[in-house]
Amino acid sequence: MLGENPLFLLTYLLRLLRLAALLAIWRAVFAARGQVGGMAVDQVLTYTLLAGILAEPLNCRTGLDRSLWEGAIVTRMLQPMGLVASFVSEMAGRWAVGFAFCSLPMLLLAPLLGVDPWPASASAAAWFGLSLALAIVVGVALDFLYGAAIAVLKTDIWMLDGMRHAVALLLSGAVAPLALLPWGMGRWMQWLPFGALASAPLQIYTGAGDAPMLLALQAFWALALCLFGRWVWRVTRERMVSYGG
Amino acid sequence: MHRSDRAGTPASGTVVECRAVCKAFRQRQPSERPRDLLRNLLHPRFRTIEALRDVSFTVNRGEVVAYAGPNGAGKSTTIKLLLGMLAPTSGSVRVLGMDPVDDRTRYVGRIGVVFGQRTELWWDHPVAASYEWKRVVWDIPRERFDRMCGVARELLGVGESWNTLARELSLGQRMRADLGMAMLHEPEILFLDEPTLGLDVLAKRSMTRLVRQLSATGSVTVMVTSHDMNELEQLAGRVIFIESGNLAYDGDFASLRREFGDLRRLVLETDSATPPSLPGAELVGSHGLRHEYRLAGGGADVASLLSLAGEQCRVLDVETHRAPIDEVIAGIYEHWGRTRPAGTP
Amino acid sequence: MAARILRLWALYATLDGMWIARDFRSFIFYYLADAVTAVASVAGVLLLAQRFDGIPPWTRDQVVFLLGFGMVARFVPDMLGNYNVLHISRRIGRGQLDHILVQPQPVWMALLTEGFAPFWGLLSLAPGVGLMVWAGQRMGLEATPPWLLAFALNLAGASAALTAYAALWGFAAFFQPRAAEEISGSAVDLMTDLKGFPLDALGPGLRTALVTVIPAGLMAWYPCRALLGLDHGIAALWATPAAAAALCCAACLTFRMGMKRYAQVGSSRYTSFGHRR
Repeated sequence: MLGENPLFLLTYLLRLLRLAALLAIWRAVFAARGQVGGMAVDQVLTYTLLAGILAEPLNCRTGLDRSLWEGAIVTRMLQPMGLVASFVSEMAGRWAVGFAFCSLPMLLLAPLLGVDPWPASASAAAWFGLSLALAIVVGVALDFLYGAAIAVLKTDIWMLDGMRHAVALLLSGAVAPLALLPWGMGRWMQWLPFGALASAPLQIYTGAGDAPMLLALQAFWALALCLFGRWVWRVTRERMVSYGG
Repeated sequence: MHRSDRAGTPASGTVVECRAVCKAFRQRQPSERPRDLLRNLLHPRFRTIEALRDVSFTVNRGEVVAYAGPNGAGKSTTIKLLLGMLAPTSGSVRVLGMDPVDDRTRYVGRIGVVFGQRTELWWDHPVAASYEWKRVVWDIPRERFDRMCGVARELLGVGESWNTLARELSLGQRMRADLGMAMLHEPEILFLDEPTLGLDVLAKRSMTRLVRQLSATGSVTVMVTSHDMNELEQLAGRVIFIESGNLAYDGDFASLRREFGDLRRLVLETDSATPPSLPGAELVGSHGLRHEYRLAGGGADVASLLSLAGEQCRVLDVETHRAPIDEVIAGIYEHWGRTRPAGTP
Repeated sequence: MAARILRLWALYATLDGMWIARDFRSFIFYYLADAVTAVASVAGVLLLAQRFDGIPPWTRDQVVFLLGFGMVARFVPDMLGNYNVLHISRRIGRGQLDHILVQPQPVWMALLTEGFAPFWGLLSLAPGVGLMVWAGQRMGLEATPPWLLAFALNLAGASAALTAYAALWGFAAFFQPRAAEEISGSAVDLMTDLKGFPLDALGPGLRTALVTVIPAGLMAWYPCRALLGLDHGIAALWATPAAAAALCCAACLTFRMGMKRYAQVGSSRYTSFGHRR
């Protein structure tokens, strides 16, 4: 896709612009303040940078919804691999291109943007790798549950997609760290599965969260959602095929 | 669109006129090799496709014309030119005395289009809602709308799916509903692009019957593209063949058969498993006591062949029939494939 | 012409109403999803403004007003831009423009009317108005006739800016169908993502970019600065409508060029994905 036209690179330029704007806004918000919600401005900036760099893995979109809506799910089922493997491998391929043309340049530009891109500690980096893997598992499971919801409700994807996007951005902590929300909302929001998507790995990376507790919570959601997803898939399989085939 | 819009259009004569039409496209040729990524980005390669080369033809009012050719021959390009979706690179296209691109809004009010692959129906609404949408957008007078809805219900059986969502229609129902909708404003020319693609035999037959009924009135000119040559032969009195962008044939089906070989078949059932040797007839195959021969059109004397066969064995039964038009066309395509110059699409 | 546009709007409003009210479950679900989307899309900034007592140099109430303004400004393009009219690159890139070309009306008229869905996004209009009224009362904003006129002008300008900007990126699909479909979506998303933030803290270069090249600042930030008195002078009040007018001119020009090109090259691909659904 990228090889077809250099204009695709503009998409990444737009992402960089968005990141720069958010960093500037955080600096303004934190001006003349010390720590807020246990986070210092440097941590928030690193958090925001990483959320921009890892935007795709922190909010997995496999393309299942579109495949269902286009009626192409049956062709996927005829491929000699599992449905999850088929969608995940395709998604990973997309990420690789995005990583090369967007994430890596963002990382390299971080010092110019005045952001320290390094993790809080070596152990934070190690835990972060595991946490990111769990975030992807949770994300894929949620994406498949979302696909099942489309097939069960037999509704169009635009409406659900808008809702999902808005809710995930708010509850996952991808835009604003949950710890910065008022009235201690972040404390209970991080217990939701959405918190396992972005908030947990980013907190671990920036050293703003309790790594073992966050990892345990992510592992719980990964297991619970995978099991639930398998069950939902089994129950709704026929309906999905009739809807999306 | 009202009747008065049609003033100035002759009741007979030429309605479609293509003169020396050429159409060329540039097509990107990216390399699939990852190491060529940068080259694809900075120095993409293109090739020029000549979709149509100096194509000229006319269509008279009331004619039913089949427009045929192998995949990639230029059929869709021609239809798009006639619909005003594309402008020719050179040459001129005039339909109903208008330039389809320059006079688009006036022009499309007088034509109807059905694409087999594209529906005009509103996906999440009943067929009735799509028809009402058409009435408002095309500004169809109520009397005409009601009358044509009646025609669609009666001739096409659209009534059965009147309140069904378009997304829940079978392909056959959808095509009939699409055709009925295309007829609502009583177009003077009907363009049908692969109208029977994917339809079962009964649905195809129903569609063919309807188009024949429409054309029988003489007021509607029909241009139809399809890969189903049997269907085209039933529908149209005239066929235009396009190949590699060139107009390869324009005439009736009978002449087409004569020109490209009117193949007939002779099937003999004999008392012997060995097929009789018949000079001038090519053995296609034998199944037990049945032997099938291909006869060259016109030249073969069936009586002599039977007499010759009778000398070699006892003939129990005889059948002769014309080869299906598909076989004639396949022969033409194969011939074109062999003689096509290198580099053509 | 106006009568025809009204007649077409009435037709599409009927289709929209019929679709939403096709069954009770869908009706409830539709508005529930609409409400959740509307609330979630502004909740993040709203909560941050609460926590930090505003986003400097904007006070909390000013941020609330800005959020409300952005919601309402987005309502009109959303109401007119259904069926991928706002994301016109998708229609062009997928070859669906051909469906418009066989209609006996100008393409612009089809685009102006076909996406009209007045029942969609109603639940983002009400909270948007509510936020503005609530914040306005807390700030003691005086809604004098001249101010209301300036408000209406800037609101229309903000809506037009988004529409024209989306159209500009969308019409790029005439020239680069696949690339434009991707970029257009990202560009409109960026507008939406940043429309709720006060952009004062940004450097001059970035700030200029966000009111010109990517005019997210015109969606709410710049007009609200003028309306709330953060920017003084009559020029500030006219800036958004003027910028919107310029964007509209650019969009019209691109459209004309694009249509000429479309007549030459057409669309080599067709997919019905998203067409009239």
